[in-house]
Amino acid sequence: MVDAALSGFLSVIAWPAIGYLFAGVLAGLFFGAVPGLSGLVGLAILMPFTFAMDPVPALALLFGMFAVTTTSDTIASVLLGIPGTSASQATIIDGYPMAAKGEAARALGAAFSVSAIGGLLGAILLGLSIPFVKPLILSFAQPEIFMLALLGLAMVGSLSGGSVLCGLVAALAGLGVSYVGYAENGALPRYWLGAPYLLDGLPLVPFVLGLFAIPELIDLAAKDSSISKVPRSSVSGGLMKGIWDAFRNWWLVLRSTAIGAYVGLLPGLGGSVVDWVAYGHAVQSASDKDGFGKGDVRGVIAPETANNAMKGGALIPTIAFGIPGSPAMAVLLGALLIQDLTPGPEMLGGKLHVTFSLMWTLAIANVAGALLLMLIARQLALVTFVNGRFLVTAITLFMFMGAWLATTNLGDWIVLLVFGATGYVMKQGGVPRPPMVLGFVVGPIMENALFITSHAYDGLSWLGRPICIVIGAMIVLSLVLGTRWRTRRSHDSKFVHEAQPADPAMSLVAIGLLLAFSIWGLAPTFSWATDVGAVPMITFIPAICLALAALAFGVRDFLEVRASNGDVFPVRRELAQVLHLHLWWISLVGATMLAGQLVAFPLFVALHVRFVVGYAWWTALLCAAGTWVFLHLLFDRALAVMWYPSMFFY
Amino acid sequence: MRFPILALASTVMFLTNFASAVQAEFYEGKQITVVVNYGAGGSTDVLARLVTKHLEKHIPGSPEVVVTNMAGAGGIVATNHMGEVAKADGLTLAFFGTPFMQYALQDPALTVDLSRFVWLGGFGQPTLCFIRKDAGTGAGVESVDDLLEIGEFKLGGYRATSSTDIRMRLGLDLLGASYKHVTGYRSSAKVLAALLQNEVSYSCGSVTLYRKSFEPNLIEPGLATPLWYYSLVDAEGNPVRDPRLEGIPTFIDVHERLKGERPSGILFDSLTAVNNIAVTMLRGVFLPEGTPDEAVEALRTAWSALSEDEEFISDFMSLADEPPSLLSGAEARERLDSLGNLDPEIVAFIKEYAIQE
Repeated sequence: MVDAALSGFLSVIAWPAIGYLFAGVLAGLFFGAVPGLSGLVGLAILMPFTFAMDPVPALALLFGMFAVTTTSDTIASVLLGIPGTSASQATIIDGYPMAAKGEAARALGAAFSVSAIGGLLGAILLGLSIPFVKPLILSFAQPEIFMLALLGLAMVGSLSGGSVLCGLVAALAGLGVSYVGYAENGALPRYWLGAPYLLDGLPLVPFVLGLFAIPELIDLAAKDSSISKVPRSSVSGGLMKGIWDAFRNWWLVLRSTAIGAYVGLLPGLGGSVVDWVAYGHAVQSASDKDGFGKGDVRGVIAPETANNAMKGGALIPTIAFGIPGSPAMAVLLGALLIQDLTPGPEMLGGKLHVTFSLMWTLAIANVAGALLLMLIARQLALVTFVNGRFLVTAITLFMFMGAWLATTNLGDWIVLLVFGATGYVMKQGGVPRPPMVLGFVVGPIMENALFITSHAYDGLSWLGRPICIVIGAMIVLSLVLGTRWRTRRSHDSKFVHEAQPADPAMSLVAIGLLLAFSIWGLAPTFSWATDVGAVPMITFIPAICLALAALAFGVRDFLEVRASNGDVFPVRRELAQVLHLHLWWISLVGATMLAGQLVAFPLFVALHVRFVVGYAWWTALLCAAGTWVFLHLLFDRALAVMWYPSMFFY
Repeated sequence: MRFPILALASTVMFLTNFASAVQAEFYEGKQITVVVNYGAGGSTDVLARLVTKHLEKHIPGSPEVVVTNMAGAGGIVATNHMGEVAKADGLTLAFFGTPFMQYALQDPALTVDLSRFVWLGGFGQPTLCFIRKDAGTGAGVESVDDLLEIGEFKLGGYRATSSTDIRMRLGLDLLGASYKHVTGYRSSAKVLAALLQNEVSYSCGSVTLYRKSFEPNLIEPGLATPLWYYSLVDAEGNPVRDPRLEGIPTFIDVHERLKGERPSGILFDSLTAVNNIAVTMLRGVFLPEGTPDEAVEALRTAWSALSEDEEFISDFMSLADEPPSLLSGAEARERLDSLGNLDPEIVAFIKEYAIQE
């Protein structure tokens, strides 16, 4: 095995493989940094170039690219509050508040450091685990996957930032949203409103962008300041402090590495939840939890470690059994086949050196990617001190294009705006949004696993499988810990909310919205066949009960605030801003329908920069020209995006 | 004597150049967008990108060719797009996992008629079935002869209405095997995992999947054994054997051996109808209705050049482990028409059969 490890290493550092590896790293940093793009898109684009290459350079290029997308995706998550890829959603919860405190450079320093450490240690850990990964992977069949997804959902207690009741309602609603489209089994589409767009369910990226990015953007416009609420001069430390944070929290880094590597290892669950699991673990295991959600560096460290460590984990089942755990792994599998490397037991036997060379590629790329980003972290962090109105222009562009990449359908933008409004109401009302995303992500996994389990095993016999019992115990433990933390805190706050104080009126609106959605979701389930209707039914019934309870508490809070002559509806002061911004966005959508994105976006940028930001005409036109070049080069030439077939241009 | 030969040669060269120059006018300096109806990285997408890379070389006028994905509703969203939105200007080409089951079963979500597209051709793949050796409640399976003696075993499928599930079940029902239908696995990789975990013990897959995934992980380690493959059937009802699958019997062979007669009846007619198109037209390549003739001609030229392209065949071989079986446009049309003109009795039967437990 040592021989294989060594020869694998030598083949990676030999020229030209190492050159391709670095080219891959550069491409990967780019694909991770732009919201809406991801390692998957990068792989699909780069793969045809590798058809004619030799195996080692080809795989160095692809794996180098793939390794670092979860390093650079932190940039948008921390600086703009938009997830760069879906693996860094959890980073936003604390990363963006850090930016608001002027600590963007610190957050980036910590994130890049732990990305490198997590990627490196994750690869090493898996290299060492190779002899016994096979039984581990094979013991996680559908019942175990169902229980694991349930465990992920039990993390809700830690993700709710205070209000467990609201968190549960949000999580159940998230599950509910995931049921849109064809049922996991049965030919019946659910909740599809007659729109073929919805038959495959809602796409993740527009949903998450709406839920997180739009409320932050509204906030940025309404507060009319830069992202950092404190001036640059009053911030000390920065990058070096972040790097020090990474080493100071070495124990958390190690645990998050293990979480990332081993959760990544399990096909079926894979990377989709690893950032949430690591974040939940960081909160649960911390002795002082009050800073989480308000800019605690540990909330950045845990998910950013895990999402890089996961890459090595995801690789193992792909190459050892031909079982890719994620779409990106499926592409890599295709790349391996083209190189005439057939995944299977041989990859852990006679071709072990190839497996090791892939591990080394991941390790080297992770370190190189992080070092490169460190060099520019300080400059990147300056974004948070830029004029907020100008950022609104720029982020709108990225957000709409990011959402558009999901399925290149106008539906992507409708999802973005609908869940933007939902996210805004939830944020202002203090109803936590992370549980909703988590519910949305694990919903299809749980329903699918439960469906197969119920057909493949007799009755509930699967609950007695040893691993199911262990995970079941962890679920109970997780719930008990979550509740205990709550009761300990409850004396200092009656109705604790997400990061910022809630608006009692908006709180009622948010809970009412989720309640109405749950009732609407429950109604048709009674007439559906069991395979199609049972799971939504057992989701929406508790959702309705919990939402009613939350509504009762909400009304109580509302009345108490009013009785003490407090303001029950502080949000009204920014509603004009909210409408104003939506008017711009809806105009952007309208302009696209008339003339396509290549006309609508530059036009939007020119007008917004001139009239809202207030820059001179020549600046506005320069920005518009820049936008066109950007759209043309990146989306049209490089990505060959399908534009909206507008009325006048096509 | 040398002079006339040279003259002849240069005349021929001139004429060929001239001929291609005439065709080149259409695609000169243009960009073709290849639409894939599944997401980036899926098996359809990987194949589309590989084919596109080689097809590009053969299109007169050397246009730039780019690939884009439009996933949704089991490939239906993009199919509707090709029929309703895409312009028939020769600049949009579909490389699709053909939604033929939805077409045959008249899925209401599919709003366009597949037979109205201009078909360039397609790719086919035979489907193989295999079983774990410890399947069932009895002594297990050493060869296909034991299949009916082993008691109930579990079948791992994708979706009740998928062509793979339907064919998997029809085969077993024709033989009278005892099985339990476990479906819902989202990819062949998930089925492989379930087979390795002994969650299910029987499944079927395309020959590429078999060679690249099931064979190295299940058959070679001795965990499972191949049973049969579903072949095409000629006019006399004889199986059309695939030389690439020597040593593995066709389903018809197995039926004759175990039941002493050729399979027949509505179950077999349905199996044949679904299989004929699944085997030959797994993936289809087409243009919107009304695409200009020059464009169609240029692309047909390129398509037929693919079957002679050594580079392409070798790339394809490393992906699929067998040479490509390319279908011409006319053959593709013929297959589709046969599906469009299916006996209503068979359509009704398959619809009913797909959803019954």
